[in-house]
Amino acid sequence: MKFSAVWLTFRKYLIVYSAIALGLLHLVPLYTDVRFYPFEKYDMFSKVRRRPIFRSVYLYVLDGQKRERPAPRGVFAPYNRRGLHSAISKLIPTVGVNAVLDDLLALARKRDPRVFGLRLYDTECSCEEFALADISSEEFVSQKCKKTLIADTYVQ
Amino acid sequence: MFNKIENFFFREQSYFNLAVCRFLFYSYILYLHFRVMTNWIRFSEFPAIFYNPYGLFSFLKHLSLAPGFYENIFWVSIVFSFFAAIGFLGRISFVVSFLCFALINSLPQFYLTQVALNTPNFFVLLIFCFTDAGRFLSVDSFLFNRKAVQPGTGDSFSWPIRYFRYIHILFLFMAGMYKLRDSGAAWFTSDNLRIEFLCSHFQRSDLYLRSVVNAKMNILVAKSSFLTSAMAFSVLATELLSPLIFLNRKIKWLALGIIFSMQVVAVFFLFIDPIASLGLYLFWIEWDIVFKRLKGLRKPWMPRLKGS
Repeated sequence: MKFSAVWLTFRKYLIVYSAIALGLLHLVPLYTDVRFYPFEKYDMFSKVRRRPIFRSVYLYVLDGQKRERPAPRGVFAPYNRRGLHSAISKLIPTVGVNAVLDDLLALARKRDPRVFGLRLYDTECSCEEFALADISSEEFVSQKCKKTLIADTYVQ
Repeated sequence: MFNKIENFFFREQSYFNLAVCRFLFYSYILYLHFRVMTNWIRFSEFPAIFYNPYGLFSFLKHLSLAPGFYENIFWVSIVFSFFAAIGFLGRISFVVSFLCFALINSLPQFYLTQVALNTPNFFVLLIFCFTDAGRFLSVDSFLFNRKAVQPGTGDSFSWPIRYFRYIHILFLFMAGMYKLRDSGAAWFTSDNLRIEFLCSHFQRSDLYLRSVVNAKMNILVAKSSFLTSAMAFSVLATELLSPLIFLNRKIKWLALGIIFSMQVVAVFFLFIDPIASLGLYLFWIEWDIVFKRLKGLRKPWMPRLKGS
């Protein structure tokens, strides 16, 4: 048998078995705890999320064109979103919702003067958008905002 | 069994398909790199760990790597991807392009590995290093092999295409397996996808897609847990049944359409950047037949296909 024929046969086996090996290689991170490149982030949605991880109070910067974008990093420093939430939860019983939101708005505006509104999302997955004027109204505080924040505090 | 596998991988095919796929796929890789280069500012927010490669490349941690190092790697990768696309420097350009791609993608918080999955492209580039894709319809063949007889068909031009198709389906199937293994039936019976929709709406930092796809559809759909569960089940079923595409040629385009539409839906609902997996669809198209139909007549340099 010529060398070329041997090589062609060997090459065929090599290709087929490498394909099988590639398939089997995927089973290693699937059935063991071993993670290796390039399989680390294989399927980012494979694990079930038991509850929403978004924060109920989510602040947006609304610029002149009314385009929605998340607040730039540093606007609400030292509060990150988790810290922001816990700060609100602690402050509500003492100073009330209205004061907390005013405080947050003042803080945000100090860092970024474009901030003029807040968006609040509750854990019932519905979202409400409030302008600044709404926030200071009694109806807002008593009806929507308190309900929203209390619901969120309960979940946490 | 082995005969069937052999027939799948080594059924003879024109060299034209592989050459066109080489050109298009490396052009696509080139586009991916340019896209990252134009968004280089996004890396500025990443922590220092970003500059530490992991996996096979973790030994590079011991070198003092400056951010500029990766910019240079990007440029090398761009140049050699272009060479590979036009078929210049043969296998060298394939190998260098693959190594650069692997190095860049081994960064823990690399933009593309964060927002999309680059793993199939990793393997496609690796397999390209072992193929004869650069031998014909390339600058090399024009410069050094001009008078040589062009081959008609051969198994050395067919197995890479089939291998890439296999990789495409393997990754889809394994994505389904990962879901089943990690979460079981809870992946579609629970509120999982509903929560994913909400989280993607409120939390996904991929602002580019969010600005393009100004979607509140995921919020609307997330109000119905039945709808999201049905969507989750159809995604899982599509991924797990995707290997059936190899059993019947007639369902190939239907199945591909379903898989593709699944990715399009993911753009609108989860803001997943689909760009990293779009390159794999190139290998499903019979480019010689497409060109033949486009031109209306067969050119002399286009070989006649068996059964076409």
